[in-house]
This record gives sequence, C-alpha cells and structure tokens, in this order.
Amino acid sequence: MRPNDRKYLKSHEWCKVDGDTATVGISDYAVEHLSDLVFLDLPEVGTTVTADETFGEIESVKAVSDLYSPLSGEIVEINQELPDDLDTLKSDPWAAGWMIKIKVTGESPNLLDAAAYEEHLKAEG
Amino acid sequence: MPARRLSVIHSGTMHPEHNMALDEALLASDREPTLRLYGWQPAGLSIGYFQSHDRFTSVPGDHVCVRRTTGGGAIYHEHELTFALIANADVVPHDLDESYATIHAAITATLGDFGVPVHRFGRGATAPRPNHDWCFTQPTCHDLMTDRGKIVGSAQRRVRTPIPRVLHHGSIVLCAPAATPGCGAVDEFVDPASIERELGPALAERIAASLDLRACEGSVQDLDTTATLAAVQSRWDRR
Repeated sequence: MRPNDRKYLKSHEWCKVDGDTATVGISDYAVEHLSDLVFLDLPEVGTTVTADETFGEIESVKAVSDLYSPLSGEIVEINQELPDDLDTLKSDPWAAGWMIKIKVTGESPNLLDAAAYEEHLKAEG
Repeated sequence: MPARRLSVIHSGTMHPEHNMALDEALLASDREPTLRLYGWQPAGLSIGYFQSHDRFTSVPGDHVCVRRTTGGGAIYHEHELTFALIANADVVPHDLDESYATIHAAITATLGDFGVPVHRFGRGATAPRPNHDWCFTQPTCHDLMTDRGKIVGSAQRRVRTPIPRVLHHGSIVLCAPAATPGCGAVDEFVDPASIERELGPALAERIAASLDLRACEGSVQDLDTTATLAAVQSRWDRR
C-alpha cells in the first residue's frame, strides 16, 4: 500500500498538503516504470502551476515524459539537489525525492486517495 | 484482418525542421495511428530534448540542427530511413520495455527479410546514465546492433494531455555518417539503393502487424504545422 497521507494523480504524481503548502513528487510506480532516469527539468520558484497541467519533464533512457501538477498555485521551493541525484527518486520517492512545493490555491478534481490509486495501478497493469 | 488502421505516410526527404514539426503536429493531434517514413534533405543533426546545444555547434558537415521532442543522444541524419510512429497510448504497449521490444522485433524481422541480421544489445549491458553525446555510441539494453555497432536509434515522447499519446522515433542507418563512423549500417550487408524502395513499406507492414493494425496509405496534407514549426525553429539553443 502506498502512503495514505497524500493524494495521487493517475499520471503517478503525488501531493501531500500541509496547511496552505503542498509537496509534490512522483510515485515509486512511476520511477520503476520509467526505469533508468537521465534528466529532470523542474520550474523555477515563483512559477505559477495549474492543476492537471505540466510543471516539468523527466527523461529516462527510453522516453521523455511530462510531469503533471496535482494542484494549482505558486511554486515556493524546488528540490535543487534532485536533478543531480536522480537515484534519490529510486531510494526515497515519498520523502527525499520530492520535487516541488506549492502554495496551494486549488486542486485537481481528479485526485485519488491511496486506495483508489492502488486500484488504478492494478487496472493499468 | 485487423479492424484498426495504421495510416502510413511516405514523406520522402524533407527539411529537418519540417520533419520534426510534422511529427510533433501528429503527436498533438487526435489522428488515427500513424507511421511516417522519411529522409532528410539537407542532412540533419538532431539533438535529444535535454541535450546542450553548445556541444554540437562545431560538428562539421552541411546540415541543419534541430532539437527533437524525444530524448536520447544526438543523431546525424544523412543516409537513413527514419520513422515516426504516433498513436494514442493504448495502441502501443503501456510498459516502456514492452513497447520497445514490440517495435524493435518488427524492425529486426524487417531487416532480416532484407538480409541484414541484427540483434538486441541485451538487458545486462544497460548504460543507465549516458555519458556520450551521440545516440549511436551509447547502446542501451533495447538497442538493435550489428557486429559493428548500433544500427537503430530510438526514442519516445509520451504525453497525457489532452489525450495520452506516444511518439516513437526510429532511425535505421543505411550508410554510417562521418559523425558516427562506428555505428552499424545496412550497407555492411546489402547495397541500400537496392532495397530502399521496399524497406519502408515492408517496415510499415511489420509494425502494423505487431500492433494489430492494418497498414493503409495516409496523408498529412491537411495537417497544420504552423505552431509546431515555430516551436521547432525556436528551441535549438534553448539549453
């Protein structure tokens, strides 16, 4: 079971809300699915993001994929070490592998709780 | 016979910027599964989506530089058969490994039919962090090889909105370019000129069959590439 203290998008991003700020990352399933990660491109602090729209891009040796924001708001912090240490995404996708922090103004209507995300993963195979 | 169509576009040789713009316009569209087969005139130097352009500004040769929307390393496109497979995500295997295995099995069978034996590089030799600038000098587990070197360069772009779509780029080297002389090439085994006309249609049939699609002749004449061409022309030196 994935952590139930956060919510998920079907595109495998997670968000964990704490007050008016939320932390965003990608799930262990996404990391495993992408496998050998090569590059991560994150936006700058101060950028406004919109729920269900892209906030960054990630490349593995097999594909470039967009990263989608579970929430709307302004980015107040990015994990600056992460692009240079993508192994952290493998070893700790739920904490040290966080990507951005957002001052939240809205959320995607498509957020799933942990149980629903598990069901989605089963359906996705 | 499969019910779903694979629209096959034989574009011939095109300018590098137009090649990339067409593929990206197809990715942004909601069209039926499409396989575009093309060449490059003038020669093209395409770099991966995340690569730094300044490492390629002094590459010799008469070519046009473009940044692909797909990832991976740089490719010097000169004498090759390039293809772009663009489809809704549910048309190709969801799993990335499986999608590569499926498409590369079709390429392997096609090249084999023309007397060009290729083999998979193999899982145990994956290069997880490519340190090389050039696609053809850094084989990873899925890549197709001759005994001399990598003969097919491949990369994907996957998008989720507005609908999940996949763009798979593939470059089958006919004659090795000067920029990557050690790569594998069709001309190790047969004269490319003797098979060039048949290779594309045969590849289309194999790829269609591997995806349970029916290859049909298609057209992109009504596709608007204004926005994607502008995007391609503006991003070469973005990184």
